[in-house]
Amino acid sequence: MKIKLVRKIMADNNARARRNRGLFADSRVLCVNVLSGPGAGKTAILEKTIPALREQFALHSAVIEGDVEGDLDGARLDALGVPVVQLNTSGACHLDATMIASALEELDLAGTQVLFIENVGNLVCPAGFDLGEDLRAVVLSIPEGDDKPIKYPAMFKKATVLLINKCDLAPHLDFSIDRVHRACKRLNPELVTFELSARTGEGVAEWVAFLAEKYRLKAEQDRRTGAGAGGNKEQSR
Amino acid sequence: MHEASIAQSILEVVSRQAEAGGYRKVTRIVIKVGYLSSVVPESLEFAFQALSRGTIAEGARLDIEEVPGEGRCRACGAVFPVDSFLCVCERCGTCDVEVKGGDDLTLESMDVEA
Repeated sequence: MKIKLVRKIMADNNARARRNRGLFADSRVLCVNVLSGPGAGKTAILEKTIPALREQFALHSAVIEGDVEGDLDGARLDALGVPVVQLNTSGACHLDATMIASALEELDLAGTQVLFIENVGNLVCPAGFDLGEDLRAVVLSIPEGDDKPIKYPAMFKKATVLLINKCDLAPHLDFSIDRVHRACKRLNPELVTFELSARTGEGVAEWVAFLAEKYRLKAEQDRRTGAGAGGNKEQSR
Repeated sequence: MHEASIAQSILEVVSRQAEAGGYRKVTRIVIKVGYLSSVVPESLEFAFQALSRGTIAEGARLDIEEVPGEGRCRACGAVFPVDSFLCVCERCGTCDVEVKGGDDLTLESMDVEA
């Protein structure tokens, strides 16, 4: 006998992501999912971004750190004096919304305005998993090459922000920022791009100001829709 | 390579439904996979066969139908099926094409035996 199912396979993940999103709205937290291939500089960017948000905008951060193994990145961010939950996926190539929900049980978001989720270094699989984030920031570093948006289109299509990192190396390598812009314009015309170097700090201020503005807009919107005043029923489940 | 977690999700839904209905065996599962979902059908098949061992769906045939995305030319407005995020308009030849859909994974149906 044939039984009709017609069910989205990602439905469980997407339902969980919606619950996470409701929790972020209730907690008045801007959640940023940070993605890239291995070694593009996600952790180094957070090491520069988190203190700048605190010092210039009085915005306090927390981090959910995803790695296949180990706590090297978690320890680096812990040194900044912010709440960090280290997730180990034990081989899995991406974070999913359920892993984030379990990390949120360990994290007290009171006093946090910006939550960064540092995803597993991988330009393929994490693109397919909504975690409930407000913003998706993809990091592409100059040494990786300017062909990455063409080779990994899903990642760049689904991003809100592109951070081109290690720009201090640009004079030494044949990386065409224009080629990246052209590919991204085809894939995702709304993508906002920042060129920066986490090592020298160049360009970080613009990215930090962008985040602060996004936080301000979200807080305003959450206030209007009544989130945070128990208006979001999803949270209590 | 997240085909294993997708195979696991399929297996969970199918097992739950089949057991709730009191069926003895699942013999066939039909799914639709978007061309743009980054899922490799062969890997999904392999993961499913490995994970379904010892379950109600052991030995079930996994039929995978691939579904294209929809391209919409920003220059001339033509709409056509696409299998890539970066494609050329079939009508006017520009590469300014917006791609929608084609990244869904849908569990369509299953065949069961009482």
